[in-house]
Amino acid sequence: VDETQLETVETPAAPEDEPAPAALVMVEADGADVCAADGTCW
Amino acid sequence: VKIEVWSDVVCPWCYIGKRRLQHALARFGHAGEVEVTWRSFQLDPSHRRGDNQPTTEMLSGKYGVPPAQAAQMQERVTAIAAAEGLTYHLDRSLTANTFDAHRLTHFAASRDLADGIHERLFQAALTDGEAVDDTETLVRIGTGAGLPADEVRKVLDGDAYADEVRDDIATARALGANGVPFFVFDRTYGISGAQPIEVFLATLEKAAS
Repeated sequence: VDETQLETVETPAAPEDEPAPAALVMVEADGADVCAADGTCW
Repeated sequence: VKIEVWSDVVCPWCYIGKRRLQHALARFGHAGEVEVTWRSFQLDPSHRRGDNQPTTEMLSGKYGVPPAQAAQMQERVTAIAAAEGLTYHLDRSLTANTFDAHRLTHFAASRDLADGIHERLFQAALTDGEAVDDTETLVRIGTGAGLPADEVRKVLDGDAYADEVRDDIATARALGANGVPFFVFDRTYGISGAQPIEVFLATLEKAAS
């Protein structure tokens, strides 16, 4: 197997039309009154 | 100011957060220039549709505590909700997969009825103890909000708005959301959780300036 070809297949280029969202300035982060992404609300 | 709010309809803090944001908007001098968009988030996307277990029972099992202790956890949130004018009956709330409820919200948004359906879904899940993944329940909620029954049924029977729901969830994660409610102002300022009204008001003023 040509290693150069293999590497090309495994690292696809990022879509050009999907810019990463800019980082937010968090006014309040991870407050107590939140349901965490794992479903923990309590 | 454009505000995007990520929430799940079975999330007790999300309805509280929605009310606090609304109370802040009522005190904000330029509320007419604020646009609020409801975004989708699923706390448990793997939850099996139709598995509608009492939430108290689920909590008891998840945390390994007696049902009475799980009920106490719910009572604390119920009291906080009451302070915002919300009547929770978490003792009768049920677990559910909320994917279809979110698809319905996106359909309602396409008819400018997003806020109405959002409110009804929260009430169904947190006040009325309804299974918000049951098709007939969602049809009733949709028609109650002003959507035509046949179109709601068509949406729910197919996969309309599924991509929109997935996109919302992916965007929330890309923006760094670790939970809900999650509020984003002009894609610049973020608030995690049902924070006090003053926090929302200060952020509104900052975003508008």
